[in-house]
Amino acid sequence: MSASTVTMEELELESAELLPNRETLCSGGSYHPGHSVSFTQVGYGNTAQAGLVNVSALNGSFDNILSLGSGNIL
Amino acid sequence: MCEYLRGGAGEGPSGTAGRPSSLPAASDPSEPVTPSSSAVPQAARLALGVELLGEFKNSGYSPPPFLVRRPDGQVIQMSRLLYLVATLINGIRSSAAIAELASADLGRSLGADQVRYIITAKLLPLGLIAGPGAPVAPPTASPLLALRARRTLLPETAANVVAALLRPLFRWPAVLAVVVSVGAVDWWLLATHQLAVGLDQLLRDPATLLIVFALSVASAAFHECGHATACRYGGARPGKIGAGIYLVWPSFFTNVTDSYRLGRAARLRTDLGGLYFNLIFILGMAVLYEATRAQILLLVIAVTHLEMLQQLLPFVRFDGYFILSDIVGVPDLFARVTPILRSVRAKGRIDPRVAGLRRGARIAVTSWVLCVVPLLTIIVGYLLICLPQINRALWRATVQQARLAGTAIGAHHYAISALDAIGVALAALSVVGSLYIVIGLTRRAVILGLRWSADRPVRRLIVAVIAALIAASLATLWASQGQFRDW
Repeated sequence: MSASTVTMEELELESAELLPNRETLCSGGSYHPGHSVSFTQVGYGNTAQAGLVNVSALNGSFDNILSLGSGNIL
Repeated sequence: MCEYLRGGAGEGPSGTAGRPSSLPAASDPSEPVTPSSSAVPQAARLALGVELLGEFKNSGYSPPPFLVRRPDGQVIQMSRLLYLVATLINGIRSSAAIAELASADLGRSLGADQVRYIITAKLLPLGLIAGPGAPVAPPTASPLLALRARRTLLPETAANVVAALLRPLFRWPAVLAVVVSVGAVDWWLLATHQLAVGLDQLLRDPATLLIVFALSVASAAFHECGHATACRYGGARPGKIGAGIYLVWPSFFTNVTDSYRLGRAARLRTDLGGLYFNLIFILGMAVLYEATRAQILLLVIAVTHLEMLQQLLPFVRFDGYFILSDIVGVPDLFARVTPILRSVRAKGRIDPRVAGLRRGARIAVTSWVLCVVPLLTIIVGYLLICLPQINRALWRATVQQARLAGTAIGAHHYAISALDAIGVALAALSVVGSLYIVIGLTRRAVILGLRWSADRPVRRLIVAVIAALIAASLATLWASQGQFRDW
């Protein structure tokens, strides 16, 4: 086969590829579990938390303002 | 390290293995193409609205690929020869005429039968050719870890109007002024001010968290306007701006697919446009703080910085991913994972999707793959192992937040109840999202398994046994750890 002739084998290797859409993403806020930071504000004596970082306001008492890791991993 | 990391162009494998999976199967090229039996008319023409974008500039490939865009927005990357034939198709030229012109351009002889083969086997299945035989539903890319449940917030026309209005913000004196000003704000904030004051305000009046939340959402929306504006500034046309679900996260998005046509600098500007608009937002908060002295605004500035850092992660489709992709000149990094792993395993037999990469790009992409694969494996593995436990925690959080919302409403603390309602929505969304990820990955694994074992009974048996083993192991693990209890 002449070097100047395109062969069918070469044609088979000619490729095309579907590219994904370019979609830039931005998640609004850091207040959901996906960001590993969630705020659970509990007043009036309740102290239930969910999230890796929990914030609780306890009517002037700042015990347990920040606690790490309470089982909510996502 | 590996054979395939050494070379550059022209190292494709001999034979016909490794056709990109995204390309529909072609007919056997060893069989003669019968012109009269072709579905293509004597003089083929491109489908209405197909746009030939030219070379993918500053590509990590050698030789560089070319780009075509279908009217539905799907961009297709193809080799020079396919592109050349596509450019010569005009509805008038015969295959022989196209072959003659293409041969002159290539400096090699291409026959009319070969042109017909390119049209029927390569271009027609992609939806690029009009007429009989054209697919009713042309193939579209279905990327891994893509955004789902899209909803439009700003249609394309409106997004372009906004982008045109904000375009002057990308002139270099404006960019310089913004960067220097934010540097000064950050220095002032970190060196001479206390963020704790804002945190204290938040703890004393948790309802102010609603303000932080609202401003943070506004910052994210403005971030997307930055991408659209940068895309427009570079000479491309941004698409719609909207919102959707990315993995488990509610996210804004901007379609900047048209930026494929831009050079590297303009593509990078598009990638960085969102972060640049975050800086402008920070300046806005600083000005607002100067006017109001509301400490909570400083907390918003800090949160915006954290969001910017998060955006630079290159392992999921945040801005960092696109920045890396454009630096190395490879448009879809996730599509390189399988070819690179296959090439590593095959020891010297290089997948064509890897073979065409320049050495520098190949090293960069391989390094990325070697980081992202273990990372995603660990994350997905952990998600699978702890799936009931995670969802139990999320479900409990949902129920508890709902109860607290009710209590807050009863006590007429409406801002707090709104916060709890947001908490309910986000926790519930996370439950759905985690299940969605697992179901989606399982579906892909099943499809791969069925494809691998098609018409091979022994392989099909192996797939069934492996699937049963995985399912039984997970169920046993979940049960032994008590993950099904105490819901």
